[in-house]
Amino acid sequence: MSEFAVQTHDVTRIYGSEVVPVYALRGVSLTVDVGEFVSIVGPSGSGKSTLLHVIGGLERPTEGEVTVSDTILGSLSDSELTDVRLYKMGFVFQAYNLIPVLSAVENVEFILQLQGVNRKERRERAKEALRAFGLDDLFDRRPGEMSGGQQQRVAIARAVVSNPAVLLADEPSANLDSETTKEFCEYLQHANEDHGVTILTATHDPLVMGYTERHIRLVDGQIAE
Amino acid sequence: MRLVFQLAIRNIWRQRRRNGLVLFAIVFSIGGVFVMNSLARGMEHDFLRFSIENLRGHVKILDAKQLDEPGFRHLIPHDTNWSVLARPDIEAWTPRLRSPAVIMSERETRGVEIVGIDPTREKHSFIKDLNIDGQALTDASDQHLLIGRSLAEELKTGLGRRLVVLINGPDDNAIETGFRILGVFESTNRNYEDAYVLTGLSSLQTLAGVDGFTGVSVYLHGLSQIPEVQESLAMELPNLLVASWADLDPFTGEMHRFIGFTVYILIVVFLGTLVFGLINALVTAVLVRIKEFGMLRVVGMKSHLIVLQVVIECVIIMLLALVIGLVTGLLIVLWLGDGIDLTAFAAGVEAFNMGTRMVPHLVVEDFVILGIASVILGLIASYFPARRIIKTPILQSLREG
Repeated sequence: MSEFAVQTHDVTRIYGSEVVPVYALRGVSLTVDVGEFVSIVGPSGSGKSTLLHVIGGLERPTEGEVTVSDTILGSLSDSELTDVRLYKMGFVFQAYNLIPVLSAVENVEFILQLQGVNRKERRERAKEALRAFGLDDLFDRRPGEMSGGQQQRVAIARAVVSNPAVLLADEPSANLDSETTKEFCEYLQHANEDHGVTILTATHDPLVMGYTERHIRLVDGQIAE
Repeated sequence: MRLVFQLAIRNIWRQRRRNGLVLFAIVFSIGGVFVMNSLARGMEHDFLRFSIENLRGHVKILDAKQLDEPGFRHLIPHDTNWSVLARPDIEAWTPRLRSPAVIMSERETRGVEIVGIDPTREKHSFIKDLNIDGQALTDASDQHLLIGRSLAEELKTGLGRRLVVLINGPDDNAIETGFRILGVFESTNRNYEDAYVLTGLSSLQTLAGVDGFTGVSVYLHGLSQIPEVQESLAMELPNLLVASWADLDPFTGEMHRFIGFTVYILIVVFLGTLVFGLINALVTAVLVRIKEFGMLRVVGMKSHLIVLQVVIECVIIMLLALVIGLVTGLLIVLWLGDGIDLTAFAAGVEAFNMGTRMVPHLVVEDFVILGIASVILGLIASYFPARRIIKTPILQSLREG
């Protein structure tokens, strides 16, 4: 097993037509070691989210190669990519993206259920994950009955409950106030330090950047030295 | 599977107003088809019953020449080997003697058909259901006459009065005799009251000077037995014509087949129309949740599970609507159990060999076909929104909604 969690090699992503190509990423090569907490920073339109999506297998690079936890994504089918996301990645979105018809504990359980973990074990692990993020009293609340900060903590619990190789967070603080962002970042840090989760977050929030060990700055789709 | 089912149930409840409207539309359609089919089946049943009960039977044995020249000239010999009718699939058989006749009262004259019957064997024709004012015929040798209410009114005669009947004998000699009216009958079909006068079989044989029959009606346990019995009897009685009710009454036979076919057309038209509305409603319902489905795909839910979830949601709504629709339809049919009164259109419906009450008739096969068609419809309707979801790129799904 290699020591890096994520590696991209010369990744380019072009949108639009051949006549008028729009370069979202231009030859991005980076390595994120296992256990790192890294932020991808840069102004709007710099390619932060695109890079995160390519690493997460949500879109394929036009050129280049992405490796996540020893798996080269380029050669995988859509179905195999889905499996990689299920077993090796956790996602935290800016809009929380919890399942509205499930309670907090059921939302966290959901990933384990997809993985085929038995009912008793997944319930225990889901509750444990929620407790770890200070949500002891909210097991049975549905997303609509929780604050933004609480929903985002449930989202982190869901992302880490299956012990993924890497957690990808796309502008996770965009909908949170500074106090809640601070609290949220402490929980991310807790996931990173106590659970050993590798975290890669796209952000332009200095508060979030302050919690990460390393910044990768993107400008016009390229890593700025 | 349990996970998908759980999500499907909760999502149905979550969008309960929209799904309620969809459910109502399906219930309305299924209930409507059910009631319409039951009424159509009632018509079909009426056609069939009137044709078989109208002195034909499921199968009729007669001399082939009777069809062109009804009367006493072409009879079935009485010493025909009737033991061939002793079969388990034959419920009953009844010999009759019929002839065109002229009937005269003191005031009026009418053309009718005189029918010689053995009243003890008339358990399956319209004769068993006659409402008789006066007395019924007692046996085959009864020399009295039963006439219909409508005919009695036209002849301006009544119970106990005498009528003169004029028939053509087997040698074309005119035979005239007087009958006393023993009873005046009423029937559910006024055509019978106008067309037939009834007397004892052997009494009419004696009057005409014959000992045979114009026809033998054979009654079976069901329609499906007709082809086999018809073929078998035709081989056993090679000198006689063995015809089914539909052979003798092709108009009603065609109507019977047409209505049977119409029932399926109704199912196809109603449910076919419904499917477009259903697809539209489901696509809209799914588009509202497209971001949610995108998120499910991001976190690792495979496409086939997404499709399964949409299909299960649709099929649950369909099955629920099917049950409610069928129960509603059944309640309406039970409410219409006594039939819809068509007396105002009596002349028209009787001309079509129908009674003046349209009574719905339930056929189990229709329940099953409607049920299967609805579930297939649900599957077809769910395919389009499900396809829309999995064809939409994940990132586009996440941006929408």
